[in-house]
Amino acid sequence: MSRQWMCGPCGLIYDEAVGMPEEGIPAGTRFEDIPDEWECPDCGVTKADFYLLPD
Amino acid sequence: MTSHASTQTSQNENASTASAVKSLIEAVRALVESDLRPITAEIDQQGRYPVEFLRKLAALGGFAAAIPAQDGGSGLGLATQIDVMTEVGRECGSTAFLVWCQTTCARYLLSSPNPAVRARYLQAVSQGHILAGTGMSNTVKHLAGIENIHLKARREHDGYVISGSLPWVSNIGEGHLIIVAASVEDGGYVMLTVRGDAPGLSLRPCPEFAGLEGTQTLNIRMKDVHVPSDDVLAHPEQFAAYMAGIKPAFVLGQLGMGFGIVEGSLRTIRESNVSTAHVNQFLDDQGEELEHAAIALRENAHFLAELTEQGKATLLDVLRLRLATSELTLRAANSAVLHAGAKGYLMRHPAQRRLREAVFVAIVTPALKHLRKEIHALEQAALEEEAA
Repeated sequence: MSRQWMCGPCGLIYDEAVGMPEEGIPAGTRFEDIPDEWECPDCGVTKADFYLLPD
Repeated sequence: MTSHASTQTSQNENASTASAVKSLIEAVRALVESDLRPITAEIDQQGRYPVEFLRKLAALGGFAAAIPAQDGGSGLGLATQIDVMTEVGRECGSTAFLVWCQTTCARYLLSSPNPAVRARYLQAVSQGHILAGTGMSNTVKHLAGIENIHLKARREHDGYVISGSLPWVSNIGEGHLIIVAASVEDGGYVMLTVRGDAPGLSLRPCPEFAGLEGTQTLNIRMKDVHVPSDDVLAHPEQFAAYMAGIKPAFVLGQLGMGFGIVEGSLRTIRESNVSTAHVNQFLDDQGEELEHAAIALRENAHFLAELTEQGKATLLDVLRLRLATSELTLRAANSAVLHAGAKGYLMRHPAQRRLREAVFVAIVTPALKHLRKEIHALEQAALEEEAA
């Protein structure tokens, strides 16, 4: 099931169904499969500062 | 000196200070009317950064009221600095916030236990030769148990190497000074100054905000930025005492932004009542009531500002006043837009802008929810101490 993750500081949403092709992350990429060194494109924090949104 | 002569000297000094305060406030008011009022819509809607105004304000001593004369300031006090910000905020909450950024950085420098960083930057910042932004929001929230700290530091030679990012910091740019704190890998925190053009530091635009777009607010990313010891405000062993010392002024300094927005909102209410008082009388928050509340808060601000400068203000009192100011600012701006009615919803009318500025007062660190959390924690601790 596709999930959405929210950046804690800036609120950017990562939607697994959409991915972030402009960041080199294809649609369907699970959040866990994004490299750990990836940074929020809007504010620069790491994956550790993202939160799974409830359905 | 006889006691009569001593009393006379003290009275003369008080009269001289009062006269200097009056002159400064009048000069700031005149500058705000001539140079800031005409560009408030441009600041708000086109994101103009009012650098020319800031330079002129600096030349009047508008950033140096809370800096002692021996350190290059006017020594008129924190209360006067809050009043300067109030004058700016009457017309533009966004620019009042820039005044807070600059004066808070000057305060950090003044309070630093490290003479090298004071000598290097205090006069330049308090006199506006170097513009400065405070990236301390994340640290203040982190220390209140609200979020993770975003900057990490490791010691190297005579200084530190910093990496990480801060989502948004205001009043910064390549030629500016930026003040941040980081957690140190072997324990504790360090607070330091970094130049906006330091190698390894990049500044990026943020997503568009609903207001305060004229504050040059940028995303900071740092990768292995070297900061020498001479640029450190507080090393880990100094950090706790240093933060406890600067926090009351950090929080109180923001009040002028709220007071200014309240004053601007009261003006909208008065102007709206010229034509529609017969219907405005049915609104919840009337101008007179808001004005009385604002006067009481401003008196309390002056009182706590003096105590802060004597090192006697309690943090709980400071946080409660800051909270009350957020709440009043929201009420006043909300009432102003309701008094103005449909015309207040036009982008050309200040009422809608004041409403967005008021929300900023309630969300900028320490946000309204943060204040309630911290006040609750302090009250609980006091109760537990009483019970023990």
